[in-house]
Formats: sequence, C-alpha cells, structure tokens
Amino acid sequence: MRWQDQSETFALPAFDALQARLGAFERQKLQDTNGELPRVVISAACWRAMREDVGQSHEERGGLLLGRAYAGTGAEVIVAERSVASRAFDSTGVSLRMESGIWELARPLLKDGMIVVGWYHSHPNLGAFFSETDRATQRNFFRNAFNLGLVIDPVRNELCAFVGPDSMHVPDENVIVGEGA
Amino acid sequence: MADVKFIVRTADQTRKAEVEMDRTSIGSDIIQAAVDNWALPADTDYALVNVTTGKSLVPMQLLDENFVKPGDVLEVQPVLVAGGW
Repeated sequence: MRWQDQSETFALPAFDALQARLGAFERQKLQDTNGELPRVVISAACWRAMREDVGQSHEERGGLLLGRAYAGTGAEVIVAERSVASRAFDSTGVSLRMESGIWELARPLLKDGMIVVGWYHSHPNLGAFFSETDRATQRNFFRNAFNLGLVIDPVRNELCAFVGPDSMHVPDENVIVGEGA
Repeated sequence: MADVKFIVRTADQTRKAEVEMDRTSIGSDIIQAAVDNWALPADTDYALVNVTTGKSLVPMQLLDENFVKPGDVLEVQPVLVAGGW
C-alpha cells in the first residue's frame, strides 16, 4: 500500500470578506466583541433550525454546523450559517450517538465556500457545557482551530460555544445570534 | 493482482491522501490506514463511502472494479458521540 498525504493547510479568508456578508445588526454586534478571542456568529436561520431540532426533548439531539470561517485580527471568526440535524441517532437524556449518515446529508451542501465549521448537540436540563465525551469528539473530529462545538440546553435556555481541538470556551459576549432569531 | 489508485478524504474534507492499494485489500484496510496516518481514534465506528459512485463499502468489501475505480474519492465518515456526563 502507498499512502501519500495531500492535505492542504486550510487558508481562511480575511475578516474583510465577512463584513460584506453580514447584516447591520451582526456587524454592530461584532464591533462589541473581543477580537483577540475567537468569535462566533450564528445566523438566525441556523439558530432557529437548531432550536427546532433540539426542541423541548428530554433526550439529546444534535447535528453538524455548516458555514464559513475567517481569519480575524486576533483570532478566528466562525460563522454558522445552517445546521444539518442528525436523522439516524441513538440518544438518552445524557448521551447521543449520531450515525455516519449525517455526513451524507451535509456533503451536497458543501459548495460555494461552505464548509463543515463544527457540530452541535443538546443537554436537556443538564446545563450547557462540554463533557469529557464532547471534548474527545471535538479533539478527534473537529480539530481545526476554526472548528466550533455548540451545546444547547433548551430547558434552561442556555448556550455555550467551544472552539478548536482543546475546546476553548468562547465568552458569551463573543457569541452573536443573528437578528430575528 | 493489480493495484488501484484512488483518493481518501475525511468526512469534513480537511484531509486527503492519494492511496494505492492492491485490489485484494478490503474496506477496513482503508479505514485502518486513515486511522493510522491521520491519528484518528481507533475506538470509533466509521463508515466508508465511495462519493464518486455513491456506494457504501462494508468493511469486508474487496476493492474490486465494481466498487473502486481509479481516481474515485472515498470518504471516511465517523460516528459522532456526545454525552452529558
């Protein structure tokens, strides 16, 4: 067997390219964030779709996040434009297994610069945090600096964001949910 | 038996490799090679999909011409797990 790695360093577009894609609300909100730390923008459509997926279920739900990432002045800016909910999964109130078919759902959407920026799942009435299992999934399969992990507690109405292979917590003030969400 | 040269990539499409394998190799050989070369976790379930043809390859599937042609792109797709505890 011969294995020749052809992976390329993923060059993020510059922050300026993001400005043109944002509405006035998001642009204003971004100005109030700390650019030295990662920033996360969740489009209103993406947020609504995630909330609809996780609903008020007392079992965990989840999926992939698609969007774009940009090289900020200090740290990355990650924009989640849409979500892809897992359809084949096993879940309880404290665990979730999303079958590999979720990647098949995402692949047709990965065009015109859209990439898999991360994943999301719910912690119903447990609080929004990353467990050790969540950190392992982030480290193993969302290992780029721009990869985002979101946890939603739909019961307590909490949201937490983590980025990169080390699951760095993104301060709440650096997480923007689009206007009208 | 002849070798076949194809592309393997991760499901998020951030890594890819050109791979040449004997046609007597099986699907699980590709997954194992991806695990070894990209430091993916071994204790995870993966699916292998030929995205050029849309066909899934089961672990014991031989890389015969019905499943892998030269230049095809194969994707290694992990099961994702999460837990609240």
